[in-house]
Amino acid sequence: MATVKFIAKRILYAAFGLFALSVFMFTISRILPGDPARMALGPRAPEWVVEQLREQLHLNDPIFKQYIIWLRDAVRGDFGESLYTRRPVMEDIKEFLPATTQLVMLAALIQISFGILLGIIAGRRRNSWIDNVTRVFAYIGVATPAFAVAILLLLLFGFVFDLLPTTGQLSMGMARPPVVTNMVLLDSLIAGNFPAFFDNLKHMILPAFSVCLAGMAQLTRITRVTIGENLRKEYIFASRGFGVPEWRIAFKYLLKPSLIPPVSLLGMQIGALFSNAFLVELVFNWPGFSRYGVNVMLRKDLNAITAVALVMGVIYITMNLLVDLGVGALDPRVRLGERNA
Amino acid sequence: MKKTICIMTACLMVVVLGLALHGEELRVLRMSQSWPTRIDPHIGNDGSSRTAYVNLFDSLVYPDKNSQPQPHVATNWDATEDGLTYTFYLRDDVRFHDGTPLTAKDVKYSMDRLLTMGEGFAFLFSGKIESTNVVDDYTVRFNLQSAYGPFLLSLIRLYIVNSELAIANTKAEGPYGENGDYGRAFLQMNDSGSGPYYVKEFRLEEELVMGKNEDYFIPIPEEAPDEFRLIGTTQPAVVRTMIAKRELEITDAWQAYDALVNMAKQEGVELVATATGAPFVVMMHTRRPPLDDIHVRRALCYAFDYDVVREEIVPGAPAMIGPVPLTTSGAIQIDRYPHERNLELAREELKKSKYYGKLDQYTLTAIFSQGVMTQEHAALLLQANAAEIGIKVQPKVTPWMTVLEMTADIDAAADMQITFVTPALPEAGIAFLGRNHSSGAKTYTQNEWLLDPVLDKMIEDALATLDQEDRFVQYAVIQEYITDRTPTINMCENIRRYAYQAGYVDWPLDELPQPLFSYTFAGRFFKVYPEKKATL
Repeated sequence: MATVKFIAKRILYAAFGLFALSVFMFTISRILPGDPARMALGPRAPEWVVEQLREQLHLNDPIFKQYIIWLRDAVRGDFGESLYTRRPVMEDIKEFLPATTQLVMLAALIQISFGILLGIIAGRRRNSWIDNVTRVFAYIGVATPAFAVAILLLLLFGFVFDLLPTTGQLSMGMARPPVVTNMVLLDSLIAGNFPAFFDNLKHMILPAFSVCLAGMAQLTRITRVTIGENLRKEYIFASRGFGVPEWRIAFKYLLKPSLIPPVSLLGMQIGALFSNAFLVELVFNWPGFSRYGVNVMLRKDLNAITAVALVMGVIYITMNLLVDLGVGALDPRVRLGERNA
Repeated sequence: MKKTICIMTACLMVVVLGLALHGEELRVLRMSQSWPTRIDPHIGNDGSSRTAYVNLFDSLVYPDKNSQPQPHVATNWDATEDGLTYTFYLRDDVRFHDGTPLTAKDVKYSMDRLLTMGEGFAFLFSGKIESTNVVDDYTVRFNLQSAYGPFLLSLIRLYIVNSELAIANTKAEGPYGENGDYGRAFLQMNDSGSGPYYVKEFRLEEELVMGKNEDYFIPIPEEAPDEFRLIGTTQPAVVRTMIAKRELEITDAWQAYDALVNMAKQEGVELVATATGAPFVVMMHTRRPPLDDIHVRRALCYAFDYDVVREEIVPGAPAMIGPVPLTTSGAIQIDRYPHERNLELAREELKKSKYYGKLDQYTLTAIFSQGVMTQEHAALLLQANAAEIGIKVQPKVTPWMTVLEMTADIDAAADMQITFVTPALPEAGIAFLGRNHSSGAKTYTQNEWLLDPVLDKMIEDALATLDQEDRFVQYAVIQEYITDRTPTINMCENIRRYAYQAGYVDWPLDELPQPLFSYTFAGRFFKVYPEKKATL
């Protein structure tokens, strides 16, 4: 019951947050300089056509009225038409979001596995050569922007060593599986098309590493610190004193409390993976939601900009909710704290 | 035993043959492009969409290598003497990709749709077409509101869609009254053409894959690409990598010159330039002091260093000697239009100006588009050159949206605007409409704000002249008239550069209409040799 109340409270906060975000993005997108109708139709379109589109977009109405109309449609799942693709924004979301989601899922998997593993190793062998190597890796990872990593990886593994594909989702000539989820990886599995599955996986390696490198570096550092701190706790010494095997100490008594800060960080980081994907998708010609976001922003595509921001907001909020639940499961103090509050 | 051997041999032959066929490499032509590419020919007119249209659709007439209209879907035509009625007779063997014959009703539907929607190339016909009538299955008639000389040339951009298919997929609700959405939702994602290539796959944000139309009414050579792919990226690192791995046959036009030169160092890769008919100009606001004085404008023209532009900023670009690029039909060379740097003449002009001695009171803002390096370099050159004759110029990087907004208002417009203006069709009269006629003011194509009723009348009269020779004579007079006003610094004619895989791709550029952008990318004229690729 307490958990249900906890989730309900979070969802209520999230709804307020999304409402505020929609007002903010709606206003910002409409007060930026430039006429979106003219932008969409080009400089040579006759004025009457531009005016017709302005009317269609309600751009001649007061901004408050525009927002009410937008909100009324949005709650019905209609975000209007994109001026960039010239089709309903909802269709664009359905097509592009799955491609980014599968990319981010792989990136998150790589980030969590490698980040935590490297953190544990570095934490248990503080000041050893391996700790120093992970430290350098972490500094470089945090300091280098994702798009720069993307270009570097592309040139290194795509051009110099010619090991991995550099653009798109599938190689030329590879049969595309029938669309079920719009995630090529999943669709190829459903269709039993394993060549497409592995080909798609190969196409994802470079973008996924580019997207997650910064997060992985942060995760490595945080895990290292918490592992290091917990290693010096008395209960660990006591466990050793009682002769508990080292692997049992590591996985049962050390890992769980050490994962609380990294898991808290993950909520923000997985949201950030979507943001990192913005330029990485452009570099790798990955037809995803983040690339779509960049393009609609450059073209002042009002409806799409607001929808992209909202979807990103929902992702951030959902991830944070899941992380809160995850931290609660790892640390009873959090659950009890919520209950007593 | 013999029988078994025979069967086994036959099986082996089948397997070998199968493997051989399987191993035969597809002839593929891949080109990087700036996205979005449209496949509805009545809503887009940007570069990548035009490339798609040229390959997916047919038009009544098709340009020859001099960009002049020649019979295509229309075998012949006639026009009334007053130029108000044109009748076109169509071939009866042209079929859309779904097998439906292309008839006069498709032509009428396409013109009506284009005009009603008002987008894409509609501006070429808007206000000029009174009505379109179907005379019979293979005869169509256009009734014009007034005589229009470049009408035939304009028809190159009327791409014919499959009306049956479009009507069957039209949504009742839409912004076009009884025509609902005019098939828009369907046509922007689905093939509706009859061209030499059909839509094989179209993935927004990723690529357009076009397959060769084996049933095309004009035989396509066997060596022509089986597949033509427009890949939605212009990222320099990606393009460089793809060219190096021979996964891309032609680059887009947006790669930096240095990058293209580097690509061309690879064996089998060559650098080519194509004419655009687009002047690279500094537009001077002739309604604002001190640029309202022709002597100040001429002084700036003489102070400008054209050689630096043609040698370093747009290397290899042809000079512009007159108001219109010489690759445009009807353009003439006017030597007295300032096109060479001469500081002495520049100072003499300044002395004749009413602002002489007062120029330090003015700082002229020169805007250029954000992210366009050639424009930025030209702006800095202009600043340095103008300073030599005592005129202060302040370059200002401006987002494209803001440029569009500024040029829509005579008061908000910048003192100077540095840009390229690509004409929709390579004829001087069409170029005048954007660059010099009052209807072109309030758009990015004209920051000079000429607003000259005499010039407007001259342009309108010339465009209404049906005889091409007479029309071109009038164009010449107009160019002299513009020269007398010198509203623009014509830096050069812009060129587009591409790196391409000359080692295994034959691109007959000299036989294709160059200034008519996108016809140089008609896939059926290319030849791709996979066997040569294998040897590189």
